[in-house]
Amino acid sequence: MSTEANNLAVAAPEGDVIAETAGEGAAPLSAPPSSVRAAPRPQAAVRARAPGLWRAAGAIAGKELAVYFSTPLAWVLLAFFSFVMGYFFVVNVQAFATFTSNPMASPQVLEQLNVTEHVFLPLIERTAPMIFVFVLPFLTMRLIAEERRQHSLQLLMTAPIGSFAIVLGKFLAAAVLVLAAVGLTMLYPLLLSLVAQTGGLEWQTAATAYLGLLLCGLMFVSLGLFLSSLTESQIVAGVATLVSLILLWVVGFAARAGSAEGPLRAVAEWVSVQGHLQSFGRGILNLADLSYFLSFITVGLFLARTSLERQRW
Amino acid sequence: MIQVKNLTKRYRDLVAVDNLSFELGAGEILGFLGPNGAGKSTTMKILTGFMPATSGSATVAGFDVFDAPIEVKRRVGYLPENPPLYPELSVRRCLQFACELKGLGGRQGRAEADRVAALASLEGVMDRLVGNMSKGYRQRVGLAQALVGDPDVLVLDEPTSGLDPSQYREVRELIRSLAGRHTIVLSTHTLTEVTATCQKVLIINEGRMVVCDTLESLHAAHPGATLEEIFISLTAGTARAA
Repeated sequence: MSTEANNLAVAAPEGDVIAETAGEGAAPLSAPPSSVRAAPRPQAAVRARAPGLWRAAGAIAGKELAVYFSTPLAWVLLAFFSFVMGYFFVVNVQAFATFTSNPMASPQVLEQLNVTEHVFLPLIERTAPMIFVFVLPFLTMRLIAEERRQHSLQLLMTAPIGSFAIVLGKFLAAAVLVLAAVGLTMLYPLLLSLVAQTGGLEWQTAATAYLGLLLCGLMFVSLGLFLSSLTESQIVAGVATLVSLILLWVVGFAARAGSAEGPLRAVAEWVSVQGHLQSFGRGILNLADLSYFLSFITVGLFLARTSLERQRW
Repeated sequence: MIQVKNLTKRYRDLVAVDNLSFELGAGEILGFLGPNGAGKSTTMKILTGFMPATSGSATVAGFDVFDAPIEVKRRVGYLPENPPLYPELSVRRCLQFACELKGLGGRQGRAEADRVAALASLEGVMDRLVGNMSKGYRQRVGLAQALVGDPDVLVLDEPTSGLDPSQYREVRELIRSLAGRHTIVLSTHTLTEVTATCQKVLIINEGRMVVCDTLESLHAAHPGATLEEIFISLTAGTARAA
Protein backbone atom coordinates (compact mmCIF):
# COMPACT_ATOMS: atom_id res chain seq x y z
CA MET A 1 0.00 0.00 0.00
CA SER A 2 2.73 2.44 0.81
CA THR A 3 4.32 1.97 -2.58
CA GLU A 4 1.16 3.29 -4.11
CA ALA A 5 1.45 6.26 -1.84
CA ASN A 6 4.95 6.69 -3.19
CA ASN A 7 3.65 6.74 -6.70
CA LEU A 8 1.29 9.50 -5.77
CA ALA A 9 4.06 11.59 -4.31
CA VAL A 10 6.36 11.04 -7.26
CA ALA A 11 3.71 11.59 -9.87
CA ALA A 12 2.64 14.99 -8.57
CA PRO A 13 2.87 17.35 -11.52
CA GLU A 14 4.41 20.76 -11.32
CA GLY A 15 1.96 21.43 -8.60
CA ASP A 16 2.36 25.16 -8.86
CA VAL A 17 0.00 25.19 -11.77
CA ILE A 18 -2.32 25.47 -8.81
CA ALA A 19 -0.97 28.74 -7.46
CA GLU A 20 -2.92 31.45 -9.17
CA THR A 21 -2.94 34.67 -7.28
CA ALA A 22 -4.46 37.27 -9.57
CA GLY A 23 -6.32 34.93 -11.78
CA GLU A 24 -9.87 34.98 -12.94
CA GLY A 25 -11.31 32.67 -15.53
CA ALA A 26 -10.53 29.10 -16.50
CA ALA A 27 -7.14 27.84 -17.52
CA PRO A 28 -7.36 24.24 -18.59
CA LEU A 29 -4.94 22.42 -16.36
CA SER A 30 -2.73 19.60 -17.58
CA ALA A 31 -4.13 16.16 -16.87
CA PRO A 32 -2.46 14.25 -14.02
CA PRO A 33 -0.30 11.29 -15.07
CA SER A 34 -2.23 8.12 -15.68
CA SER A 35 -0.67 6.36 -12.71
CA VAL A 36 -2.53 8.77 -10.50
CA ARG A 37 -5.81 8.90 -12.29
CA ALA A 38 -8.60 6.79 -10.93
CA ALA A 39 -11.64 8.93 -11.71
CA PRO A 40 -11.73 10.61 -15.14
CA ARG A 41 -11.94 14.39 -15.15
CA PRO A 42 -14.85 15.27 -17.46
CA GLN A 43 -13.94 18.84 -18.28
CA ALA A 44 -11.61 21.60 -17.24
CA ALA A 45 -12.52 23.10 -13.92
CA VAL A 46 -13.28 26.77 -13.42
CA ARG A 47 -11.47 28.47 -10.59
CA ALA A 48 -13.35 29.95 -7.70
CA ARG A 49 -13.62 33.68 -7.24
CA ALA A 50 -14.67 35.82 -4.36
CA PRO A 51 -18.12 37.11 -5.31
CA GLY A 52 -18.83 40.76 -4.56
CA LEU A 53 -21.21 41.86 -1.82
CA TRP A 54 -24.32 42.06 -3.97
CA ARG A 55 -23.65 38.86 -5.87
CA ALA A 56 -23.15 36.96 -2.65
CA ALA A 57 -26.19 38.56 -1.03
CA GLY A 58 -28.23 37.78 -4.13
CA ALA A 59 -27.15 34.14 -4.05
CA ILE A 60 -28.10 33.85 -0.39
CA ALA A 61 -31.42 35.63 -0.94
CA GLY A 62 -32.20 33.25 -3.80
CA LYS A 63 -31.42 30.24 -1.67
CA GLU A 64 -33.47 31.57 1.23
CA LEU A 65 -36.48 32.23 -0.97
CA ALA A 66 -36.19 28.76 -2.49
CA VAL A 67 -36.29 27.32 1.02
CA TYR A 68 -39.16 29.59 2.11
CA PHE A 69 -41.35 28.54 -0.76
CA SER A 70 -40.42 24.87 -0.75
CA THR A 71 -42.19 24.48 2.58
CA PRO A 72 -45.69 25.66 3.39
CA LEU A 73 -44.32 28.42 5.60
CA ALA A 74 -44.20 31.34 3.19
CA TRP A 75 -47.45 30.33 1.54
CA VAL A 76 -49.29 30.01 4.82
CA LEU A 77 -48.03 33.34 6.11
CA LEU A 78 -48.97 35.14 2.90
CA ALA A 79 -52.37 33.48 2.90
CA PHE A 80 -52.97 34.37 6.53
CA PHE A 81 -51.97 37.97 5.95
CA SER A 82 -54.21 38.26 2.91
CA PHE A 83 -57.09 36.64 4.70
CA VAL A 84 -57.02 38.95 7.70
CA MET A 85 -56.53 41.99 5.51
CA GLY A 86 -59.43 40.92 3.34
CA TYR A 87 -61.62 40.45 6.36
CA PHE A 88 -60.92 43.91 7.71
CA PHE A 89 -61.27 45.43 4.27
CA VAL A 90 -64.77 44.06 4.06
CA VAL A 91 -65.58 45.22 7.58
CA ASN A 92 -64.32 48.72 6.84
CA VAL A 93 -66.18 48.95 3.56
CA GLN A 94 -69.41 47.77 5.08
CA ALA A 95 -69.14 50.20 7.99
CA PHE A 96 -68.42 53.03 5.60
CA ALA A 97 -71.25 52.07 3.28
CA THR A 98 -73.69 51.82 6.15
CA PHE A 99 -72.68 55.18 7.50
CA THR A 100 -72.76 57.03 4.21
CA SER A 101 -76.10 55.61 3.20
CA ASN A 102 -77.59 56.67 6.47
CA PRO A 103 -80.31 59.16 5.58
CA MET A 104 -79.97 60.88 8.92
CA ALA A 105 -76.35 61.95 8.34
CA SER A 106 -75.92 65.64 7.68
CA PRO A 107 -74.54 66.62 4.26
CA GLN A 108 -71.56 68.46 5.71
CA VAL A 109 -70.39 65.36 7.56
CA LEU A 110 -70.96 63.25 4.48
CA GLU A 111 -68.81 65.60 2.46
CA GLN A 112 -65.89 65.14 4.81
CA LEU A 113 -66.05 61.40 4.71
CA ASN A 114 -63.92 59.82 2.13
CA VAL A 115 -62.93 56.36 1.20
CA THR A 116 -59.25 56.94 1.70
CA GLU A 117 -59.51 57.98 5.27
CA HIS A 118 -62.09 55.59 6.50
CA VAL A 119 -61.54 52.43 4.56
CA PHE A 120 -58.06 52.37 3.17
CA LEU A 121 -55.91 54.10 5.76
CA PRO A 122 -57.03 52.19 8.84
CA LEU A 123 -56.24 49.04 6.90
CA ILE A 124 -52.74 50.05 5.89
CA GLU A 125 -51.77 52.14 8.85
CA ARG A 126 -53.11 50.03 11.67
CA THR A 127 -54.34 46.62 10.61
CA ALA A 128 -51.45 45.62 8.38
CA PRO A 129 -48.63 46.53 10.78
CA MET A 130 -50.45 44.72 13.52
CA ILE A 131 -50.60 41.60 11.42
CA PHE A 132 -46.91 42.06 10.70
CA VAL A 133 -46.25 42.09 14.44
CA PHE A 134 -47.69 38.62 14.74
CA VAL A 135 -46.64 37.13 11.43
CA LEU A 136 -43.13 38.40 10.70
CA PRO A 137 -41.47 36.67 13.68
CA PHE A 138 -42.38 33.35 12.07
CA LEU A 139 -40.64 34.48 8.94
CA THR A 140 -37.45 35.78 10.48
CA MET A 141 -36.89 33.37 13.33
CA ARG A 142 -35.33 30.72 11.16
CA LEU A 143 -33.05 32.98 9.16
CA ILE A 144 -29.89 32.49 11.17
CA ALA A 145 -30.92 30.28 14.07
CA GLU A 146 -31.79 27.41 11.76
CA GLU A 147 -28.48 27.66 9.91
CA ARG A 148 -26.72 27.27 13.21
CA ARG A 149 -28.77 24.31 14.25
CA GLN A 150 -28.39 22.62 10.88
CA HIS A 151 -24.67 23.29 10.79
CA SER A 152 -25.09 24.93 7.44
CA LEU A 153 -23.77 28.23 8.76
CA GLN A 154 -20.31 26.73 8.27
CA LEU A 155 -20.83 26.77 4.54
CA LEU A 156 -21.60 30.48 4.63
CA MET A 157 -18.82 31.38 7.02
CA THR A 158 -16.13 29.50 5.12
CA ALA A 159 -17.16 30.88 1.76
CA PRO A 160 -15.18 33.82 0.36
CA ILE A 161 -17.86 36.32 1.39
CA GLY A 162 -18.15 38.78 4.24
CA SER A 163 -20.58 38.48 7.13
CA PHE A 164 -22.51 41.47 5.92
CA ALA A 165 -23.28 39.66 2.66
CA ILE A 166 -24.90 36.92 4.72
CA VAL A 167 -27.00 39.42 6.68
CA LEU A 168 -27.94 41.42 3.61
CA GLY A 169 -28.92 38.35 1.63
CA LYS A 170 -31.25 37.10 4.33
CA PHE A 171 -32.70 40.54 4.84
CA LEU A 172 -33.41 40.81 1.12
CA ALA A 173 -35.19 37.46 1.09
CA ALA A 174 -37.49 38.48 3.93
CA ALA A 175 -37.96 41.89 2.31
CA VAL A 176 -39.18 40.22 -0.87
CA LEU A 177 -41.79 38.41 1.15
CA VAL A 178 -42.89 41.61 2.85
CA LEU A 179 -43.13 43.21 -0.58
CA ALA A 180 -45.19 40.30 -1.84
CA ALA A 181 -47.58 40.59 1.09
CA VAL A 182 -47.96 44.33 0.59
CA GLY A 183 -48.30 43.86 -3.15
CA LEU A 184 -51.19 41.51 -2.64
CA THR A 185 -53.08 44.25 -0.85
CA MET A 186 -52.88 46.60 -3.80
CA LEU A 187 -56.05 44.98 -4.95
CA TYR A 188 -57.94 46.99 -2.35
CA PRO A 189 -57.11 50.53 -3.50
CA LEU A 190 -57.84 49.41 -7.05
CA LEU A 191 -61.25 48.14 -6.03
CA LEU A 192 -61.94 51.26 -4.03
CA SER A 193 -61.10 53.59 -6.86
CA LEU A 194 -63.42 51.69 -9.15
CA VAL A 195 -66.33 51.60 -6.79
CA ALA A 196 -66.10 54.70 -4.62
CA GLN A 197 -68.57 57.43 -5.34
CA THR A 198 -67.76 60.06 -2.75
CA GLY A 199 -64.57 61.14 -4.46
CA GLY A 200 -61.94 58.68 -5.55
CA LEU A 201 -59.00 57.28 -3.65
CA GLU A 202 -56.29 59.81 -2.88
CA TRP A 203 -53.37 58.23 -4.65
CA GLN A 204 -50.66 60.34 -3.11
CA THR A 205 -51.80 59.48 0.37
CA ALA A 206 -52.08 55.87 -0.59
CA ALA A 207 -48.54 55.88 -1.93
CA THR A 208 -47.01 57.38 1.20
CA ALA A 209 -49.07 55.10 3.38
CA TYR A 210 -47.71 52.09 1.49
CA LEU A 211 -44.19 53.40 1.88
CA GLY A 212 -44.72 53.70 5.60
CA LEU A 213 -46.04 50.17 5.78
CA LEU A 214 -43.11 48.85 3.81
CA LEU A 215 -40.59 50.60 6.02
CA CYS A 216 -42.38 49.30 9.07
CA GLY A 217 -42.22 45.76 7.73
CA LEU A 218 -38.53 46.09 6.92
CA MET A 219 -37.85 47.42 10.37
CA PHE A 220 -39.59 44.43 11.92
CA VAL A 221 -37.61 42.12 9.67
CA SER A 222 -34.29 43.66 10.65
CA LEU A 223 -35.15 43.25 14.32
CA GLY A 224 -36.19 39.64 13.77
CA LEU A 225 -33.00 38.97 11.82
CA PHE A 226 -30.87 40.35 14.61
CA LEU A 227 -32.63 38.31 17.26
CA SER A 228 -32.32 35.21 15.11
CA SER A 229 -28.60 35.76 14.89
CA LEU A 230 -28.25 35.60 18.63
CA THR A 231 -29.45 32.07 19.17
CA GLU A 232 -29.48 28.55 17.85
CA SER A 233 -33.12 28.03 18.71
CA GLN A 234 -35.78 29.24 16.30
CA ILE A 235 -38.35 29.25 19.08
CA VAL A 236 -36.32 31.55 21.29
CA ALA A 237 -35.72 33.88 18.37
CA GLY A 238 -39.39 33.83 17.40
CA VAL A 239 -40.70 34.51 20.86
CA ALA A 240 -38.17 37.26 21.50
CA THR A 241 -39.10 38.93 18.22
CA LEU A 242 -42.81 38.65 18.91
CA VAL A 243 -42.48 40.14 22.37
CA SER A 244 -40.25 42.97 21.16
CA LEU A 245 -42.60 43.83 18.33
CA ILE A 246 -45.61 43.84 20.60
CA LEU A 247 -43.77 46.16 22.96
CA LEU A 248 -42.77 48.48 20.15
CA TRP A 249 -46.30 48.60 18.90
CA VAL A 250 -47.94 49.13 22.22
CA VAL A 251 -45.51 51.37 24.09
CA GLY A 252 -46.83 54.65 22.76
CA PHE A 253 -50.39 53.79 23.53
CA ALA A 254 -49.46 52.50 26.96
CA ALA A 255 -47.55 55.66 27.77
CA ARG A 256 -50.54 57.75 26.90
CA ALA A 257 -53.03 55.55 28.64
CA GLY A 258 -50.91 55.27 31.75
CA SER A 259 -49.94 58.36 33.60
CA ALA A 260 -46.42 58.58 32.26
CA GLU A 261 -45.17 62.13 32.32
CA GLY A 262 -42.30 64.18 31.01
CA PRO A 263 -39.18 62.56 29.56
CA LEU A 264 -40.37 58.99 30.06
CA ARG A 265 -43.45 59.68 28.06
CA ALA A 266 -41.48 61.48 25.37
CA VAL A 267 -39.14 58.53 24.99
CA ALA A 268 -42.01 56.08 24.86
CA GLU A 269 -43.73 58.10 22.21
CA TRP A 270 -40.57 58.36 20.18
CA VAL A 271 -39.99 54.63 20.30
CA SER A 272 -43.54 53.79 19.36
CA VAL A 273 -43.97 52.59 15.81
CA GLN A 274 -47.55 53.78 15.53
CA GLY A 275 -46.54 57.36 16.11
CA HIS A 276 -44.06 57.29 13.28
CA LEU A 277 -46.55 55.83 10.86
CA GLN A 278 -48.97 58.69 11.28
CA SER A 279 -47.34 61.16 8.92
CA PHE A 280 -47.24 58.58 6.16
CA GLY A 281 -50.96 58.21 6.56
CA ARG A 282 -51.44 61.90 6.02
CA GLY A 283 -49.65 61.90 2.71
CA ILE A 284 -46.54 63.52 4.15
CA LEU A 285 -42.96 62.31 3.97
CA ASN A 286 -41.63 63.40 7.30
CA LEU A 287 -37.86 63.31 7.61
CA ALA A 288 -37.96 62.41 11.28
CA ASP A 289 -40.21 59.45 10.65
CA LEU A 290 -38.22 58.32 7.63
CA SER A 291 -35.01 58.41 9.60
CA TYR A 292 -36.62 56.52 12.47
CA PHE A 293 -37.31 53.58 10.21
CA LEU A 294 -34.13 53.78 8.18
CA SER A 295 -31.86 54.04 11.20
CA PHE A 296 -33.65 51.21 12.94
CA ILE A 297 -33.17 49.03 9.86
CA THR A 298 -29.51 49.98 9.57
CA VAL A 299 -28.82 49.36 13.24
CA GLY A 300 -30.61 46.02 13.09
CA LEU A 301 -28.52 44.85 10.14
CA PHE A 302 -25.33 46.11 11.71
CA LEU A 303 -26.06 44.32 14.97
CA ALA A 304 -26.87 41.10 13.13
CA ARG A 305 -23.55 41.29 11.32
CA THR A 306 -21.72 41.98 14.56
CA SER A 307 -23.38 39.00 16.13
CA LEU A 308 -22.14 36.80 13.29
CA GLU A 309 -18.65 38.24 13.52
CA ARG A 310 -18.63 37.70 17.26
CA GLN A 311 -18.71 34.01 16.60
CA ARG A 312 -15.43 34.37 14.80
CA TRP A 313 -13.92 35.88 17.88
CA MET B 1 1.01 24.97 0.76
CA ILE B 2 -0.04 24.90 4.40
CA GLN B 3 2.13 26.20 7.21
CA VAL B 4 0.85 26.05 10.75
CA LYS B 5 3.02 27.61 13.47
CA ASN B 6 2.37 27.38 17.17
CA LEU B 7 -1.35 27.26 16.66
CA THR B 8 -3.27 27.44 19.90
CA LYS B 9 -6.98 27.57 20.55
CA ARG B 10 -8.27 28.09 24.02
CA TYR B 11 -11.85 28.13 25.21
CA ARG B 12 -11.49 29.77 28.61
CA ASP B 13 -9.90 26.95 30.64
CA LEU B 14 -10.01 24.29 27.97
CA VAL B 15 -7.12 24.12 25.55
CA ALA B 16 -8.44 22.55 22.38
CA VAL B 17 -5.30 22.98 20.30
CA ASP B 18 -1.95 23.38 21.99
CA ASN B 19 0.99 24.82 20.14
CA LEU B 20 0.47 22.86 16.96
CA SER B 21 3.00 23.23 14.16
CA PHE B 22 3.25 21.40 10.87
CA GLU B 23 3.80 21.94 7.19
CA LEU B 24 2.24 20.41 4.15
CA GLY B 25 3.57 20.78 0.65
CA ALA B 26 1.53 21.24 -2.49
CA GLY B 27 -0.18 18.11 -3.72
CA GLU B 28 0.40 16.15 -0.55
CA ILE B 29 -2.26 14.33 1.42
CA LEU B 30 -2.12 14.57 5.18
CA GLY B 31 -3.93 12.07 7.35
CA PHE B 32 -5.04 13.79 10.51
CA LEU B 33 -5.51 11.24 13.26
CA GLY B 34 -6.41 11.45 16.87
CA PRO B 35 -8.83 10.28 19.52
CA ASN B 36 -12.21 11.98 19.63
CA GLY B 37 -11.99 15.43 21.10
CA ALA B 38 -8.29 15.70 20.34
CA GLY B 39 -8.61 18.92 18.40
CA LYS B 40 -8.80 17.72 14.81
CA SER B 41 -12.06 19.46 13.95
CA THR B 42 -10.99 22.60 15.76
CA THR B 43 -7.76 22.77 13.78
CA MET B 44 -9.68 22.30 10.56
CA LYS B 45 -12.13 25.04 11.50
CA ILE B 46 -9.21 27.38 12.06
CA LEU B 47 -7.59 26.44 8.76
CA THR B 48 -10.79 27.18 6.88
CA GLY B 49 -11.40 30.50 8.60
CA PHE B 50 -14.51 29.42 10.41
CA MET B 51 -13.02 30.38 13.75
CA PRO B 52 -9.87 32.23 14.76
CA ALA B 53 -6.97 30.85 16.74
CA THR B 54 -6.14 32.20 20.16
CA SER B 55 -2.51 32.50 19.11
CA GLY B 56 -0.13 31.25 16.47
CA SER B 57 -0.52 31.45 12.74
CA ALA B 58 -1.82 29.43 9.84
CA THR B 59 -0.91 30.11 6.24
CA VAL B 60 -2.79 28.45 3.43
CA ALA B 61 -1.79 28.78 -0.24
CA GLY B 62 0.44 31.67 0.68
CA PHE B 63 -2.22 33.66 2.53
CA ASP B 64 -2.52 34.09 6.26
CA VAL B 65 -5.88 32.89 7.51
CA PHE B 66 -6.15 35.79 9.92
CA ASP B 67 -4.99 38.59 7.61
CA ALA B 68 -6.50 37.52 4.30
CA PRO B 69 -9.40 35.22 5.10
CA ILE B 70 -11.27 35.84 1.85
CA GLU B 71 -8.24 34.85 -0.23
CA VAL B 72 -7.85 31.70 1.81
CA LYS B 73 -11.52 30.79 1.55
CA ARG B 74 -11.40 31.19 -2.19
CA ARG B 75 -8.80 28.49 -2.36
CA VAL B 76 -10.10 26.06 0.21
CA GLY B 77 -12.85 23.49 -0.10
CA TYR B 78 -14.17 22.38 3.27
CA LEU B 79 -16.22 19.36 4.20
CA PRO B 80 -17.17 19.71 7.89
CA GLU B 81 -18.10 16.85 10.16
CA ASN B 82 -21.78 17.55 9.46
CA PRO B 83 -22.10 18.35 5.78
CA PRO B 84 -23.69 21.81 5.49
CA LEU B 85 -26.77 21.04 3.43
CA TYR B 86 -30.31 22.38 3.14
CA PRO B 87 -32.80 19.52 3.50
CA GLU B 88 -35.56 21.45 1.72
CA LEU B 89 -33.55 21.87 -1.45
CA SER B 90 -32.58 19.49 -4.21
CA VAL B 91 -29.03 18.30 -4.66
CA ARG B 92 -28.71 20.38 -7.78
CA ARG B 93 -29.89 23.52 -6.01
CA CYS B 94 -27.52 22.95 -3.09
CA LEU B 95 -24.57 22.52 -5.42
CA GLN B 96 -25.56 25.55 -7.46
CA PHE B 97 -25.73 27.58 -4.28
CA ALA B 98 -22.25 26.41 -3.32
CA CYS B 99 -21.06 27.49 -6.77
CA GLU B 100 -22.63 30.92 -6.38
CA LEU B 101 -20.91 31.35 -3.04
CA LYS B 102 -17.62 30.77 -4.81
CA GLY B 103 -18.41 33.36 -7.45
CA LEU B 104 -19.63 30.93 -10.10
CA GLY B 105 -23.13 31.83 -11.10
CA GLY B 106 -25.49 31.39 -14.01
CA ARG B 107 -24.48 28.97 -16.73
CA GLN B 108 -20.98 28.63 -15.35
CA GLY B 109 -22.42 27.71 -11.97
CA ARG B 110 -24.68 25.07 -13.45
CA ALA B 111 -21.81 23.57 -15.41
CA GLU B 112 -19.62 23.51 -12.34
CA ALA B 113 -22.40 21.92 -10.30
CA ASP B 114 -22.66 19.18 -12.91
CA ARG B 115 -18.92 18.69 -12.91
CA VAL B 116 -18.57 18.20 -9.17
CA ALA B 117 -21.68 16.05 -9.12
CA ALA B 118 -20.07 13.77 -11.69
CA LEU B 119 -16.93 13.57 -9.58
CA ALA B 120 -18.94 12.48 -6.57
CA SER B 121 -21.15 10.14 -8.62
CA LEU B 122 -24.32 12.06 -7.95
CA GLU B 123 -25.69 12.26 -11.48
CA GLY B 124 -28.67 10.06 -10.78
CA VAL B 125 -29.95 11.95 -7.76
CA MET B 126 -29.59 15.56 -8.76
CA ASP B 127 -33.25 16.34 -8.37
CA ARG B 128 -33.82 14.52 -5.14
CA LEU B 129 -34.36 16.56 -1.98
CA VAL B 130 -31.35 16.40 0.29
CA GLY B 131 -33.57 15.81 3.28
CA ASN B 132 -34.75 12.55 1.76
CA MET B 133 -31.31 11.11 1.22
CA SER B 134 -29.28 8.64 3.19
CA LYS B 135 -26.23 9.69 5.13
CA GLY B 136 -23.92 8.25 2.51
CA TYR B 137 -25.45 10.34 -0.24
CA ARG B 138 -25.47 13.46 1.88
CA GLN B 139 -21.81 12.89 2.58
CA ARG B 140 -21.16 12.77 -1.15
CA VAL B 141 -23.08 15.98 -1.73
CA GLY B 142 -20.96 17.61 0.97
CA LEU B 143 -17.86 16.32 -0.75
CA ALA B 144 -19.06 17.66 -4.09
CA GLN B 145 -19.65 21.04 -2.44
CA ALA B 146 -16.08 21.02 -1.17
CA LEU B 147 -14.83 20.40 -4.70
CA VAL B 148 -16.60 23.42 -6.17
CA GLY B 149 -14.26 25.89 -7.80
CA ASP B 150 -11.36 23.48 -8.00
CA PRO B 151 -9.80 24.62 -4.72
CA ASP B 152 -6.08 24.30 -4.15
CA VAL B 153 -6.64 22.88 -0.72
CA LEU B 154 -9.24 20.43 0.49
CA VAL B 155 -9.98 20.11 4.18
CA LEU B 156 -12.10 17.02 4.74
CA ASP B 157 -13.38 16.19 8.19
CA GLU B 158 -14.20 12.49 8.25
CA PRO B 159 -15.22 12.28 4.59
CA THR B 160 -15.91 8.57 4.67
CA SER B 161 -17.91 8.42 7.86
CA GLY B 162 -21.21 6.66 7.43
CA LEU B 163 -20.47 5.26 4.00
CA ASP B 164 -21.12 1.67 3.02
CA PRO B 165 -18.13 -0.33 1.68
CA SER B 166 -18.69 0.37 -2.01
CA GLN B 167 -19.35 4.10 -1.41
CA TYR B 168 -16.31 4.13 0.83
CA ARG B 169 -14.15 2.74 -1.92
CA GLU B 170 -15.50 5.23 -4.45
CA VAL B 171 -14.74 8.15 -2.19
CA ARG B 172 -11.33 6.75 -1.41
CA GLU B 173 -10.55 6.45 -5.11
CA LEU B 174 -11.85 9.95 -5.67
CA ILE B 175 -9.56 11.35 -2.99
CA ARG B 176 -6.61 9.50 -4.45
CA SER B 177 -7.37 10.87 -7.88
CA LEU B 178 -7.37 14.37 -6.46
CA ALA B 179 -3.86 14.04 -5.11
CA GLY B 180 -1.20 16.02 -6.88
CA ARG B 181 -3.56 18.65 -8.15
CA HIS B 182 -4.97 19.36 -4.72
CA THR B 183 -3.43 19.51 -1.30
CA ILE B 184 -5.60 17.52 1.07
CA VAL B 185 -5.94 17.46 4.83
CA LEU B 186 -8.20 14.67 5.82
CA SER B 187 -9.21 13.52 9.25
CA THR B 188 -10.52 10.05 9.79
CA HIS B 189 -10.85 7.19 12.18
CA THR B 190 -10.51 4.64 9.42
CA LEU B 191 -6.84 3.77 9.48
CA THR B 192 -7.00 1.72 6.29
CA GLU B 193 -8.04 4.90 4.55
CA VAL B 194 -4.89 6.57 5.80
CA THR B 195 -2.62 3.81 4.56
CA ALA B 196 -4.42 3.80 1.23
CA THR B 197 -4.44 7.51 0.48
CA CYS B 198 -2.10 9.53 2.66
CA GLN B 199 1.57 10.21 2.43
CA LYS B 200 1.93 12.06 5.69
CA VAL B 201 0.34 11.37 9.01
CA LEU B 202 -0.22 13.75 11.91
CA ILE B 203 -1.36 12.26 15.17
CA ILE B 204 -2.83 14.69 17.66
CA ASN B 205 -3.88 13.98 21.21
CA GLU B 206 -5.39 16.39 23.72
CA GLY B 207 -4.56 19.27 21.44
CA ARG B 208 -0.91 18.45 21.23
CA MET B 209 0.90 16.97 18.29
CA VAL B 210 2.19 13.52 19.00
CA VAL B 211 3.91 12.83 15.72
CA CYS B 212 3.97 14.26 12.23
CA ASP B 213 5.82 12.18 9.69
CA THR B 214 5.54 10.32 6.44
CA LEU B 215 4.00 6.90 6.56
CA GLU B 216 7.29 5.20 5.70
CA SER B 217 9.24 6.88 8.45
CA LEU B 218 6.51 6.02 10.87
CA HIS B 219 6.61 2.38 9.88
CA ALA B 220 10.39 2.45 9.99
CA ALA B 221 10.32 3.82 13.50
CA HIS B 222 7.86 1.16 14.61
CA PRO B 223 8.89 -1.91 12.66
CA GLY B 224 6.34 -4.63 12.29
CA ALA B 225 3.50 -2.65 13.81
CA THR B 226 0.30 -1.80 11.97
CA LEU B 227 -0.84 1.78 11.91
CA GLU B 228 -3.50 0.92 14.44
CA GLU B 229 -0.93 -0.41 16.87
CA ILE B 230 1.28 2.62 16.34
CA PHE B 231 -1.66 4.93 16.91
CA ILE B 232 -2.73 3.24 20.11
CA SER B 233 0.76 3.06 21.52
CA LEU B 234 1.40 6.73 20.81
CA THR B 235 -1.87 7.99 22.21
CA ALA B 236 -2.27 5.58 25.10
CA GLY B 237 0.14 7.32 27.41
CA THR B 238 -1.56 10.65 27.35
CA ALA B 239 -5.14 9.57 26.71
CA ARG B 240 -7.79 10.95 29.01
CA ALA B 241 -10.62 8.81 30.24
CA ALA B 242 -12.90 9.88 27.42
